[in-house]
Amino acid sequence: MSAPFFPQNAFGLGAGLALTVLIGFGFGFALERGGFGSSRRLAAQFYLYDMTVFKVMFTAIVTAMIGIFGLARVGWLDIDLIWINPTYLWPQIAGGFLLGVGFIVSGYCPGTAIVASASGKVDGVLALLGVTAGIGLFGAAYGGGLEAFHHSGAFGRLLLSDLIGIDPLILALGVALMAGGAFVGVERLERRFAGRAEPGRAPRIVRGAGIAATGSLILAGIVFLAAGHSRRAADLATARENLAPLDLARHIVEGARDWSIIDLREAMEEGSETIPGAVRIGSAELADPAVWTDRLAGHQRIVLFDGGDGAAERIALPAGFRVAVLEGGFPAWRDEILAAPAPSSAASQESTEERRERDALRAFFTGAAAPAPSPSGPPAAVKAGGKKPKASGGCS
Amino acid sequence: MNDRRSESLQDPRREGAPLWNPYVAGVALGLVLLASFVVMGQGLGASGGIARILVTLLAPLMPEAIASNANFRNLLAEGNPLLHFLVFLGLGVLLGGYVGAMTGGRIRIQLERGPRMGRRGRIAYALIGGLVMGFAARLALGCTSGQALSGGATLAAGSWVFMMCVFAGGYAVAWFVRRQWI
Repeated sequence: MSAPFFPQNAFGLGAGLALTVLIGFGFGFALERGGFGSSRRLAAQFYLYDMTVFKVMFTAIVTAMIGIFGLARVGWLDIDLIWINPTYLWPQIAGGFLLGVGFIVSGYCPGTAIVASASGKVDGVLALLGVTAGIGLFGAAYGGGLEAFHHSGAFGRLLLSDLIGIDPLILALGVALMAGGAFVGVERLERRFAGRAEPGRAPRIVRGAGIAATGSLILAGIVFLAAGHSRRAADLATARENLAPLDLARHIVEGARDWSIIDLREAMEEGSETIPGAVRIGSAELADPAVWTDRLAGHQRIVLFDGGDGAAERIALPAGFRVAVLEGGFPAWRDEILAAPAPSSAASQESTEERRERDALRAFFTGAAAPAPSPSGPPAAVKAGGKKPKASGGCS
Repeated sequence: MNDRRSESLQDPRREGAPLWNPYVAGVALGLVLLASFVVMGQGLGASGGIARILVTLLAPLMPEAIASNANFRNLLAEGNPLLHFLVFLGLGVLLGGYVGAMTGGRIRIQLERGPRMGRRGRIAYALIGGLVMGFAARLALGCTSGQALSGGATLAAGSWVFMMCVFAGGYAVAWFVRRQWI
């Protein structure tokens, strides 16, 4: 099995969370050793006399980026199964700018505030309290205009490499080269501003910072324009395609949890028959873009199925979302996957291999005894038809 | 007075063991991020875990307000909001930060601030800056960890826009808060 492991049920939720603590430990430890537990060092970034933050951050991004797209190239990592932040252009521009303001005012970002708190920094604890209050404030102010803005500029899972139209690994190597050039530049900046950060010399420093800010804004402007050109591409990416019950069944049996399967049938009671791993979200609920943003965005594929009444075809899709509609809805699933084949039908014309696969699938989904459909056997979570433990990912 | 910056940033007696070279620290951080994608299929994040803890604390106090809130209720939609990647990640960060600071001899109760900044001012700035960041992280669907670092490494277009805007925002107001830091 190629990576990523957790989304493919290589281990359970408990083991996943234990490994997550370990990953977090590494994250916290590396941040601390990189000097990210100090607000003055973090803030120094913006006065150009200590560019540690810039150097650590871009080295980390480049390392992980080459790792991700390199492993994908040799087939050890399935890029389609990893969470990639969906693009919501306008809230990301406004939120990024505000976060930068909060960063220089508080001296931390949320992650580094946790590290600082752990080493006894009182200002770290205060910043963390502020962050918590800010999250609460956003929730309290949510609704109306803010809610609409929160979902604006949706482009779904959009990679820079797709936007530019070049190979992601080539782009990753290009970013690495640019970062290398930038490192040479910031080393020179540091030498220039080192020792000049005394109170009396602040204006000179800020002149440099002003240039940097202008540069950042111009850069942001370029990205805007590029994104504007790709709007048509995003509209094209908003699409509805059909999915045959057999293909869905095969995917579930393989044990992948990367698809979000949505049961649209409104009037179903809890516990009634459905497709394993499916989540019930009614058509009315799906009219709310927040449901798409918070619960569905970032999934590799969103599969909708209805009770055979065509409800899935009538769902309005927010921009940037691709969905697959199960052909014939749940009745087709029942007839094709769960029901025993009619003795004298087209089924008799199937090859032995096809019939064997259908038998195995039926046994898997009805729980009847039969040879395991794959050598590794059905994953427990799917077999139980329980909830999907997949984390919704990112910093959402 | 001019020496105080260099004292607190560079003096090894006050700052414990030397920090890693920034590029070494960067590679280490990058490998942790890569491991997160390889093992868990997702990157790192900080603000999402804090939001989940907040919702867990608020839910028993104001159940109706949370259940009817379009921003919070989705955190509760998938069962216990604490049984989540981001919450456990945050716990790990806290532990890793503590062990890193302890083994480096950098554990010290202090209010970090520049030589010209008063105590009360620094407290207010930390709180207000944090408040703005918390709001911003929810608005942008992520913070520096979840968007800039993790989204940046996966070449997510919106995350790169976010990252540029963080730098733009920081540089834009650095002048106005310089008294706090230099």
